[in-house]
Amino acid sequence: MLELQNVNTFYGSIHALKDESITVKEGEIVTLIGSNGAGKTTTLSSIIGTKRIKSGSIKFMGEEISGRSPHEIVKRGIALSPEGRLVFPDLSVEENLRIGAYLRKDKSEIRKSYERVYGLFPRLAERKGQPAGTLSGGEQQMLAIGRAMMNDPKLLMLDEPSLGLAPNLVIMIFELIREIRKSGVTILLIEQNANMALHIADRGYVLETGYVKLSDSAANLSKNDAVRKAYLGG
Amino acid sequence: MKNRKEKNRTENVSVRLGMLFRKKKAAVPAFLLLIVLLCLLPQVTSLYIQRNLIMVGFYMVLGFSLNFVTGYIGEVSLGHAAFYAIGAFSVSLLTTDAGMGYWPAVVLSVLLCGLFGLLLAFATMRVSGTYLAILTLAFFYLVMNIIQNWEGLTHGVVGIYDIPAANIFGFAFTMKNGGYYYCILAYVLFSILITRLLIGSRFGRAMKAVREDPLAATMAGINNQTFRVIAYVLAGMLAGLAGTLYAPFCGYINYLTFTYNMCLMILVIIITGGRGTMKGVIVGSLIIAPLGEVLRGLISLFDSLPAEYLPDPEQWRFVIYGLIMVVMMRLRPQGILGGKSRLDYRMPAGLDKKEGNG
Amino acid sequence: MFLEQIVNGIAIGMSYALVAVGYSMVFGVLRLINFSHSAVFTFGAFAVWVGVEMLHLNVFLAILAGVAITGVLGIGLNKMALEPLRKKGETGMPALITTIGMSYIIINVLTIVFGSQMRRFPALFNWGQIHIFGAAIGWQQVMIALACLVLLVTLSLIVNKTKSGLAMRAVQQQPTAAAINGINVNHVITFVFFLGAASAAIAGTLVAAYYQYVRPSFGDVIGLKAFAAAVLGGIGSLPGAVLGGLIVGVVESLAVFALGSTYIDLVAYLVMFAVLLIRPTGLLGRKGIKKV
Repeated sequence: MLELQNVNTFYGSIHALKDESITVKEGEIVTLIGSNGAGKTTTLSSIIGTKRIKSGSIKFMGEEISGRSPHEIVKRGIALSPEGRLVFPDLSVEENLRIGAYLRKDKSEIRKSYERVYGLFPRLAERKGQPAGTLSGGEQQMLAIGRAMMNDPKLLMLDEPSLGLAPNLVIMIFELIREIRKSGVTILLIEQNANMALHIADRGYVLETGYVKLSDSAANLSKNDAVRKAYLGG
Repeated sequence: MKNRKEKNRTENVSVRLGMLFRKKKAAVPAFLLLIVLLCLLPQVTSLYIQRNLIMVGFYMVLGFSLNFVTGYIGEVSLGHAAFYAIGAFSVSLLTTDAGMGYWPAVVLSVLLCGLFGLLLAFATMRVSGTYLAILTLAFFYLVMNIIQNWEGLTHGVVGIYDIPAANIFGFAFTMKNGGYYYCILAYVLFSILITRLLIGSRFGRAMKAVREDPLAATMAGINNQTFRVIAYVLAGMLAGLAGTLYAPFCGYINYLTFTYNMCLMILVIIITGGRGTMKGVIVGSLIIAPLGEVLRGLISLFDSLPAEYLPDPEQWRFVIYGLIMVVMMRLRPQGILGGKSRLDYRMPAGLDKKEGNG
Repeated sequence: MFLEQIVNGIAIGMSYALVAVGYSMVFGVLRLINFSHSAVFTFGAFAVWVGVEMLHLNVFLAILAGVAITGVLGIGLNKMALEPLRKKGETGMPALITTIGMSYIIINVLTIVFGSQMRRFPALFNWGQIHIFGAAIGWQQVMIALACLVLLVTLSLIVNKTKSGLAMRAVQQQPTAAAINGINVNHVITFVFFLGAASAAIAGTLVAAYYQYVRPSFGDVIGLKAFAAAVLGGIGSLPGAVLGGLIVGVVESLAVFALGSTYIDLVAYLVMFAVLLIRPTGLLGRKGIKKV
């Protein structure tokens, strides 16, 4: 479904992604793990088009998408719940969700998406009219995921969805990610909490300073000594 | 012990002086030769050329003045001609209505301009970027509006006639004796000297730090407000100094002598040459100040055409200034001579990206 | 007399508001004060003047055409001068100097084409006077205030009720998030420049009708006053622009009443200095955008 081949991305003179190759198959949950600065977020920015790649190819559903603008890429069915949530603070919850469906035209389909998101996150339904800036961190995270879901994506990319959340909320968010997958959405997940990520993922990639260091099934990765030592706390 | 101190001090002085001509050994004689040549110039050129050279000199001093603010602090001032006007009006009124001698009047006027610089620095303390540019423009309009309307002081729209010629020890300056030429040449050299001293000083290093990374500079304990104020005061005084010579040079001034076009021209000079560089100011004023005359010359080549078909060089000059600004920013924002590596202007943190938590 | 001055102040203040909104909207999406806005305002007034006085078009047709052309000028400014800078990531001083340069080009080209003298502009609503409470109030002033009100309400509806308006607000608050949700940020910015320029053209027409003349230097002072209004109300805030415009307009009119017209222009400048020194966010502005 998504295929990155030998992608190189730079920030000025900093070589952030080095010949990165990653594949995500339909229906999978794939996770990228690695420490800060390993290139996880840059990978997602390169896919969604907010960061131009220098060389390599990114194919989605067999079609080259690198070099296209974000709105063209989003239209093809990719959505991103960004790091730091980036909700629109002065817009209401409902308006935030409306923007998630910005490129969709069919009113009744959009209505269905609202129902689906409110079904996943009843809390958001309760706070429909409230400005997003007044929500708690957990609620903002739900809103960011919900907003991405409003695009009715084929591929959902989640950047650190558990960051800064209380443990019970973390568990809840991961439950929801599973549920979203069950409804037929492919998921590319970035997590600091590698334990949780490998727990729900099918496969994983370990990134280190812009390289893909390891790739294997999630089960194997959790057993791998080096991975355990570096990312799973022994 | 005492001897050593003494020796250190002399060494320091020589080091300081050396910094004025830091580059190469050969630069000193070359520089002196250039000055000698510049001194001889009025003896061999026509009055027309000399007049243009004097105008270039005025704009060079104004360019150095604006460079303190725009080049070293990174703030666009659109009201710089206000200081020029204050200097000119002040010296004219002091030498005519108040009957004061020329040089005491110059000193007082320059101090007054420094005071206005201080005032402007404080009034714009909390803003930067376009806000600041607009405030400086408002400052210009404010000053000109007062000059135009305060009849009791500035003679209102009539302006000031018969401004006595500038003089030194009773020797009156004229175009013919080259007095104005040598005086403005001295002011240009003085501007170079003061800029050099400033860059080499703690101020210069601090300014550089603030420009490269304001936040880090603040962390390092550099109080950029202090330096900002110093820069504004110096800028005001230098532009005022130019004004004190410009008024007797013209002999007559009124509120229309100093225009927004003048403000922009000074800005265009340092943009063309390169913000924050001395060579930039010099080259910029050499290119920009004579542009009007050059255009006039070009257009007069077509004098076989009826006059109504010929473009007005004055207006087209301004259009060209505008184009220079736009094109330079697009192709070479650091100016012809500006270095490439400089990070010079940034939005204050938090503005370009608002926090998600609002 | 007093009441008349108040009405004059409201009419001119509403026009300031309409110009101020343009500053605010562009600032909202770009965090940039569009310095060329006052030149666009003057251009708009001239565009309408050409339609009425030179081409002898029907007044409303002339206004429509003038506003459309000015809107296109706004788009052109963005596309030709500012968008290339954004692509290079040069948004600070280079963008500011570019807008200064554009404004200078527009004003001086206008001067070359039309000369610097005053041109008579038709009073659009020359319908005589209304007498209320012993005061004689011109229809002209009332209609200008009303026209501005209608336009401001329309703009506010566009911003708050339409999908394009939603996109504008999204870009304003969180440009990155807007982009990753499929909003074409460049389109939004173009749209904002169009709206800003078009409303400046209408404001230019109304102010020209109020003073019954137009000339190239016409926008310089009014642009500054409108900016003072935007700053006073809180830049980036639409109701703020209206409030600021009304205050500046009315205070100015009352200053004429109390102090005579000599120093009238100083009032707006002093207000601006005071606001930016004491409360840079303005009356209704948000905290986050204190220093620009």
